[in-house]
Amino acid sequence: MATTLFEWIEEGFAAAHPDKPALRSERGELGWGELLPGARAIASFLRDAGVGRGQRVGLWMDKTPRCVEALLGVLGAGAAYVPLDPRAPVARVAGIARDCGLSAVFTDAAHRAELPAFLAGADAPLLLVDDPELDGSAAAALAPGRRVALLDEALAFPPSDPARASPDDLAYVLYTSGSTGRPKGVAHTHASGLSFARWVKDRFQIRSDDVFSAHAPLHFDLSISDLFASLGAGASVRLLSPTEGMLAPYLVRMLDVWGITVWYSVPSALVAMLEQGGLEARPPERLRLLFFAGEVFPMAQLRRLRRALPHVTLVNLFGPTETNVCTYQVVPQTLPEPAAGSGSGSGTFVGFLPIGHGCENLETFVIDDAGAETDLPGAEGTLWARGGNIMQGYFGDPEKTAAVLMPDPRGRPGLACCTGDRVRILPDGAYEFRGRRDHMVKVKGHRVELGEIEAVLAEHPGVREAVAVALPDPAAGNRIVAAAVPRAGASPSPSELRAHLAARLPRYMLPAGLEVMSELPRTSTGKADRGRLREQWEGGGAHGDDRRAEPG
Amino acid sequence: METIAGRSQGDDEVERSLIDFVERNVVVDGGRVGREERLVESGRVDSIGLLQILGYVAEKFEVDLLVLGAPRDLLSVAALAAAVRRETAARSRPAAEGA
Repeated sequence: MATTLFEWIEEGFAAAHPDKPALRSERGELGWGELLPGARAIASFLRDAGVGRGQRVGLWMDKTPRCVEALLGVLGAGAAYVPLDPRAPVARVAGIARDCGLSAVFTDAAHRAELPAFLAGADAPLLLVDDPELDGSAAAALAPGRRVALLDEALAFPPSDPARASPDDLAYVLYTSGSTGRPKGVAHTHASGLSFARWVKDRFQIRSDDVFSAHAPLHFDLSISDLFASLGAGASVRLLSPTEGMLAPYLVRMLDVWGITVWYSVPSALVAMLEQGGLEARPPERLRLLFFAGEVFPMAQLRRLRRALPHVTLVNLFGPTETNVCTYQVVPQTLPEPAAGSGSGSGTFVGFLPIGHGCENLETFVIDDAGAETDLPGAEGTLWARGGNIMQGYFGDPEKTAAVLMPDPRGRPGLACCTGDRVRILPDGAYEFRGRRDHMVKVKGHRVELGEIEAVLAEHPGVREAVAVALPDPAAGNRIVAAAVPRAGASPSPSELRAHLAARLPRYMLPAGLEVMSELPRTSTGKADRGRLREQWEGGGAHGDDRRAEPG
Repeated sequence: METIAGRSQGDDEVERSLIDFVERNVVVDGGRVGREERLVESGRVDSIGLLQILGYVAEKFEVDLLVLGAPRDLLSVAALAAAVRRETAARSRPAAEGA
């Protein structure tokens, strides 16, 4: 039985037909019969170049089959891969490369022009370039003083047995935005990555005839399931480019053409497929399993999705990158409709799906505000997890690691991960998400969960999506500003939305400013970009008014 | 008038108009945009920017690339202009054939 991610992929290879595509994208495909030999050759090349266990290798490439082949080659060498956001500014990418001390970097033609700036800020001694326009000497000229090889050269290297990494060896580092503005590297081992991939495969019976979509970029933790739950079962993966991922009508048209059976994305991508893509009129026939994660799914939109895809198992996967995923909720066939005039100020979320129970391969528990474990229905506290999928730590940052991976607060031996998520225990033992501890703000002395405002706003029939952020305010402590995106064909006014909120929330929770926007800014992972909204609103001065923003 | 590159004089105007719009309204860094430069894939255009561009194309050229377009049509200004020409020609074809 596999104990490392590379062995896991070897198991998938044994289950798959060699002629079947393993990876497809708009830029080509790789069959199973090519993928594993190619990854083994790259692994041998890297080992020959002195890259091995514990070392980090950057992937600064578009998400193509060749990129995934390189990723597997890194794992085959016993090293850890570090996906570098191909759409991020080069200074940020170079900063991440510096932070984790890369031994090698894979890059491609798309980043050739930015390479000098990257290399000026990063110390990678070995560069592997996937660029059909270059020969060996032209490639070498890209980085004088460093070893440069074409990816084709590595692919032609005589394969040898893969390095046998240990389950506790570092396997990948995913950089997420840190609250201080400096990205932090969430470091996972083969054991934690494999535990998650195996849980997805077993719990949802992933088969070799499944076809996964890979909507998320590789630096986003959704990609772990996209790549490993799929390939470990011998299934195929259709890699989506960022442009494909943003073109909802095209995605809806292509789901059945590509034969997608398993989809995983942030809710906003699915909302776009409902709103702009006509998903309800054209439900994909082959889709059987749909995961969503990364942000709260507005209940009104989730009801639409549930009705549009009655034949599909919908699953809310929940957990910070530090846990891969730690809880899940299968969406029932019928979702409750909101009661007319139902309020939320009493502490009841009207607009959220529960985040469900802990994944079977790890342990979850709740610590209340007094520091005691509780499993009483109705009790509220912080969600903790241990075992299974949990990260090794933040790369190179023992202080931050110790603030999250702490001695088990129940006094049991070993460490547990404090997720920072507040939950309430439901009568059946499932968890209801009550927001991030860091999304909890004080307004005029009242504790306010921003997610609650978002949920109530998103329940308005004319609203597709809503976001609330807190801006510092000398008088009130914080001032809340919210944005709402209308549903297609709807045009709710700020005053109409304010009346909707006022009927459901206590006065102190009402946003000081409310903006109707045609679309929200997004992070590279597709989530609503709260930081950018905060900057826009702060930059726009103290605006406590309501406004409607027109596109363009 | 077709050129050897398969582009017409009108296309150059389409490209110029698109570049002007993207530089003025979409890219956040304030820099120039090349006709072959990748828009979304490079990170210079985000999801809001893409919708702005598609809205502009729909309004200015009466071509709905959000519905009709494929991802390759949105890769660059040159690709957008080619898609505008293709869809405009497809729209005028039935009338021409029926004439």
